[in-house]
Amino acid sequence: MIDVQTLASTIPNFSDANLLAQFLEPRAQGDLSLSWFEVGVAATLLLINAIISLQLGLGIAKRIATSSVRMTIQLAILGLVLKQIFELAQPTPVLGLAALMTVIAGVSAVKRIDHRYPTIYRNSIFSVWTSAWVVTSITVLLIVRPQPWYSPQVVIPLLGMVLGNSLTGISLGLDRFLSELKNRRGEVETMLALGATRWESCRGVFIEATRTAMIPILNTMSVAGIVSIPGMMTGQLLAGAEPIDAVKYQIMIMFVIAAAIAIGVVLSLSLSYRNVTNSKHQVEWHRIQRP
Amino acid sequence: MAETTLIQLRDVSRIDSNSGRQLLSSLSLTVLAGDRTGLMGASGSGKSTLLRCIAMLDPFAGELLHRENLITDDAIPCYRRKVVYLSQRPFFTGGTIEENLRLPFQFKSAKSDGASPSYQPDLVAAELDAFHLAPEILKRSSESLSGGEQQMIALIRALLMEPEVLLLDEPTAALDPDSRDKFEGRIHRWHNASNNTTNKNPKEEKAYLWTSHDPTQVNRMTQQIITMDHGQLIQTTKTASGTHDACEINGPKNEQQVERSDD
Repeated sequence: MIDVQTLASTIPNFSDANLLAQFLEPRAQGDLSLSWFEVGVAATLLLINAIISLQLGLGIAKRIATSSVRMTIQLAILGLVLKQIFELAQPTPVLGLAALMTVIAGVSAVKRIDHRYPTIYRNSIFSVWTSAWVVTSITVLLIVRPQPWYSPQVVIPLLGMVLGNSLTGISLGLDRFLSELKNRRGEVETMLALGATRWESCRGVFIEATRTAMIPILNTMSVAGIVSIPGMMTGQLLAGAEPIDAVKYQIMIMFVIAAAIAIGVVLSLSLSYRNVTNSKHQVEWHRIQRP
Repeated sequence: MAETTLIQLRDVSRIDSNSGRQLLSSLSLTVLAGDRTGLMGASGSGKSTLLRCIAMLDPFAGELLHRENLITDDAIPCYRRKVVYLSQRPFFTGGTIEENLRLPFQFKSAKSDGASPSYQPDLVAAELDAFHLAPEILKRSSESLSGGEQQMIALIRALLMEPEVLLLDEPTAALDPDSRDKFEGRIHRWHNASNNTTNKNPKEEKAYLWTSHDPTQVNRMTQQIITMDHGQLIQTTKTASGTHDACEINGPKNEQQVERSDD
């Protein structure tokens, strides 16, 4: 549980006059930890955005403010929860948090989809769960092999990365599959009327949706290291890791993420295909609806 | 009567799951070999729904028999090759017209049924010729075709499968008179070729159901007209070109409403 003491200790005390002095003083070499004051300096950068938005009447000043606050609160809570779980170092809370993250990922994947069918949440959660946990288990138990196996500082960030990518893939894939099925209704039904099985009539849409879902990770993989230094590697470098070690981890995580996306997408699309068609080789169009 | 029963609907109902509206209510209908039946009725009376149910494209309650047998789930694709539904607006997959004409022959149902025909280029050439379409059309994409040409290609594609029953859902509604005449003529010849020979082979007898808003067309093309209203068959009338009474209506729910005209 989060105790009040911990919570209070994380709240910055801006009245402290020493803070400014600390900020201006040169750091000791190798010490890169931020004070809350320094985080506040970064926040002022966003203020520039807000001013531009107000000046030009972009109408997104409010959204900038709310999403900034939201992001801060979410990450602060995550920090507190992780702090607690790291201190406990017990398998049950680690797995509990992992399960919670997985369910949230499954639900979020559906949130961005235009068309839905009745059992879509169940299918999405199942697909995220299976793909992310299989892949993360392999990574933790066979590749990284931390001691103990449930080390939260390994399991939670790895799972988080896998979940985030798997959910994006599933979301893109499902959205494309359902909207494309509706768009190509005439074509799909013509094929059925000409003797196609349900799979033969939906295969084209299925393949297109799978392809769409895999494009982001393929793009990321092809520009990794040229256009951007991936987030995880950035983190490890800042934490003082050897570049080669950081690169090895980054390459490993890219493969892991790509595998998780592929499994999650194919699983979620297969379940969706089964749910919107029936054994009489019919598409149950009425099940696909806008929320 | 030695007439072959091709399709029998018993107590078929369909409810739109979203609105709860009754689209077809315990409707019964028999289609015999040789039938040329017109379906008339206001928009929303259930004409298209009925044709789609006969093609088993939509879920429905009740029984459908093909040549007096129930159709197993696995046999439905093969059944749809025999009982072909043609929509008002034809649809094509990307690619050339030839690829679209070959499409039905690539499905599993084309291979599983040993008796089903294969794609024959010379037959396609003859069909195109019958519609006065140049053979070069095969290399074109479907988007480059006019509405009339598209509907003729769709008909050719259906005929290549050698169906027993054609379910024609306002097939000429979007066509100009010239294309309409060609379409009607081709249906006429297809039907005649099998039914008007002296040695009738019951396996080759054909029937069609045709929905239309045009009474003159229905009179021209069919031997009897079934009128639909609110998902029920309310009336059967013979047309001027009707030769024999071949269609039976025996909906238990609406028997009283059925009127039979005696020409």
